[in-house]
Amino acid sequence: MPGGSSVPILPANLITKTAEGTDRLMTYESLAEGGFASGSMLGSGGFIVFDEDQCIVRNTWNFARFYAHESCGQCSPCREGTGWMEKVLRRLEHGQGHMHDIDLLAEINKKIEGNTICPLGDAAAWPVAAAIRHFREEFEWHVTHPDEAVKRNFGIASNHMPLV
Amino acid sequence: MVKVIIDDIEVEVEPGTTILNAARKIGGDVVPPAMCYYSKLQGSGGKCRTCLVEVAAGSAADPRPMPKLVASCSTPVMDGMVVKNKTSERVYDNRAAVTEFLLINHPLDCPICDQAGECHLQDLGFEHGKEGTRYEEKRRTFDPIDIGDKIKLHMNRCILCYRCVYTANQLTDQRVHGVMHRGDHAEISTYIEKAIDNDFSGNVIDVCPVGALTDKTFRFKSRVWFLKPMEASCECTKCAGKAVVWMFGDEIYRVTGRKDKYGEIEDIDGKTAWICNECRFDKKDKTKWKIEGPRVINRHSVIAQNQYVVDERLETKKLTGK
Ligand code: SF4
Ligand code: SF4
Ligand code: FES
Repeated sequence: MPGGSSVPILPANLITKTAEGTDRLMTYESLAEGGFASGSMLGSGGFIVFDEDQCIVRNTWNFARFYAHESCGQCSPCREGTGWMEKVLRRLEHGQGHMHDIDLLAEINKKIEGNTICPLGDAAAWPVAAAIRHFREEFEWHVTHPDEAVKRNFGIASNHMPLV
Repeated sequence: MVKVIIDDIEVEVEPGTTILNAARKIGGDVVPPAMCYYSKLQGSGGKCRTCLVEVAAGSAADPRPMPKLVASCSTPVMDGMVVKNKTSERVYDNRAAVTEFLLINHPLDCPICDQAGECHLQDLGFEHGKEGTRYEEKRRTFDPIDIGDKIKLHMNRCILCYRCVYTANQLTDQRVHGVMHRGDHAEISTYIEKAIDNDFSGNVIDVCPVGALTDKTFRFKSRVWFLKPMEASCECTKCAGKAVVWMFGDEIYRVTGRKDKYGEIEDIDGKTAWICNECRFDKKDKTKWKIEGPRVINRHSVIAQNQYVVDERLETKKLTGK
């Protein structure tokens, strides 16, 4: 995850190479290549690296919890939206989610993004959107394997494979 | 004067006017709903995001569209700006989303809510709400508290528009209530439930767009659509004494300020006609008021059903067929 906690998370193959196959450089321009579909942002310049054993859902929940806590509560999309995302992600992580929750999350963050007073709403929405975009199978695994999801992480993901 | 086009209608306004006020100059359904902006309160607006509109062209000098939807209550117009409100799908879509956000933690206890019938959230939900909820979690709840002996605060119903805070700030000299905490556990509170003790504190009831702040002297007495609103005035040393009394037969059930069609207290003789607590809570006797005649309630909500004075907007509809 380049750029701190508020930018889209990328799988390893998209961090080393862009979607076109050119080398990804540590610059603002290069990281932004591909837009949000296959790129990200350099943001603050901070980096978070997860190995394949980490749980994307738990990590996304962690970020959502942070933003729900930090939301100042002035404008409705951010105040209610961040709290809502946090609750849905907590359910998913603890094996109580449903398949429609994943689409619901994607829908909520689309409706927070751009409608708030300040960019905290965007910052809360982007990492969730990107986690679903790139690691959807891991979210689905949490729904289909609720018992295992509370005991272990998804484990070796298929991130070595090129994205289509 | 600058020219703006809102929903294909051109209007000329003073420079510095907000999009919302320009739309109000046109009137009708071009006007975006506003849950937090209150023209009589300085600094209000920008919070609820129900008034979002699309700016298709920024100005004559720079006709690029704005990438995000903007809050019309806090965005000033530019010469040659083109704004889309009801003609934009995107606006409707996002307004529906804002409505959903406002409702996920709302109790929707309209059947026992004193605001029902004149509630802006009901209007908003009627126009933009969905029939079901996608929220499966527990709603956040608070216990109702008393703010002084005349005002009840149902924090559950509050949409955190901050209007009451601005009112307390601008109308009274010692504000003892405000917003505590942040995020989705923010709440309106008086510090340790201390009573707001001021002659004009009752006005927070009038500015509240929902049933969060209600009049305890009117609590559970009747429904607003059973009452007849009458314009009345009285001799009062503290305020202008121009109010609306809500009557049932010969009895006065409650007294409110004179609100215009946007739910804002009207200006009378160049001054906003806030009413004082004595007029609002204690003068429930018909002999203390001079009844001037029926009040036009120019709203599309349920009170209008009971109306005996013709709504001029409906009238134009009949004439023009639109
Ligand atoms: S505030 Fe409005 S929407 Fe909420 S319960 Fe009262 S009448 Fe219903
Ligand atoms: S109590 Fe009413 S006026 Fe005050 S912030 Fe809540 S909804 Fe707005
Ligand atoms: S009225 Fe404009 S944001 Fe609330």
